[in-house]
Amino acid sequence: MITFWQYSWLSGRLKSKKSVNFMEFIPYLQPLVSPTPTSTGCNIIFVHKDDKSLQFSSVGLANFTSIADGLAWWDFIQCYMDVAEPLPNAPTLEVCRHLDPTTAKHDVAIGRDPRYWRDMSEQEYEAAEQAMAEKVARAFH
Amino acid sequence: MQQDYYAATAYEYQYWKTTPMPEPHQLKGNHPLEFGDYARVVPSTYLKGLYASLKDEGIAEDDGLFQFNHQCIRTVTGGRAWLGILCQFGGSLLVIGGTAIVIGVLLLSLYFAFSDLKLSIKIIKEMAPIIGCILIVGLVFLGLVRLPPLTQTIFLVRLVPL
Repeated sequence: MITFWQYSWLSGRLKSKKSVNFMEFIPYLQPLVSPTPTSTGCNIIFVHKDDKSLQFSSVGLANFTSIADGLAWWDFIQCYMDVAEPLPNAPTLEVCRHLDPTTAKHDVAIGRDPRYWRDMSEQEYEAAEQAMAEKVARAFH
Repeated sequence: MQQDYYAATAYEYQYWKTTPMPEPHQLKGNHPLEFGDYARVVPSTYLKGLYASLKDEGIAEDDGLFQFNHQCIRTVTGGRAWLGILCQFGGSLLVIGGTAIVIGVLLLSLYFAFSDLKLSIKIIKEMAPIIGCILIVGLVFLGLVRLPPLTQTIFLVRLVPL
């Protein structure tokens, strides 16, 4: 579910709250272009199938430097939202992996170290970061 | 707290196997993306520069949230911050304009009614409410942006990004 919080522009108080199913949104890739080739990247925007005014996007959640990174984020979000799939293996989600039943089962099955990211040295972290960047580049070349 | 069930509205890729995808909108320059076919990757946004946060047990164990990474996450601030700019510029224009009109009226009364005090008073009296309004509104606008910070947030929200 995606929840939209609407605030009054003047008082800043909450006006309304609306929850919509994730399946009702159509995802779009919005490449960012400029007259000079100085800016690269893209946005992923989600527009409601019936109501174009209901939108949310990757802005404020991520800042992509390439289209491959944007597509990787779309893959990440899908895995995150899909309850049949384990959570993506990201350091930010490591502390709550045990709370999600599918992820907890998956982690037990593959014998994942619950402190995989947290026990890494800086060199190991950089190597893992680099390996993932290469995997992203390979997957979305 | 762990639950052993998911809400009926929770998303599963299985859903698209039984339901046709909705027709994409006609949005210029945007390309619709497809669901499924997971590559199981993590974007650099969620990896780059997080090592320091990982090592901070206070942050990592507290609520599962990491330090905000300004390099990787772009924030768009929207709200009433423009009101502050409007108050500053609009207020100064009104005060400058009001003062100019005061001087203008005094010059006019000097020019047209130098020897006639009654006419001079009449000109000033007729113009006084307009000038007063302009000056008061201008001063209120300028005053708004000079309030103590806590009071100011009531009118203008936070003027600096988080």
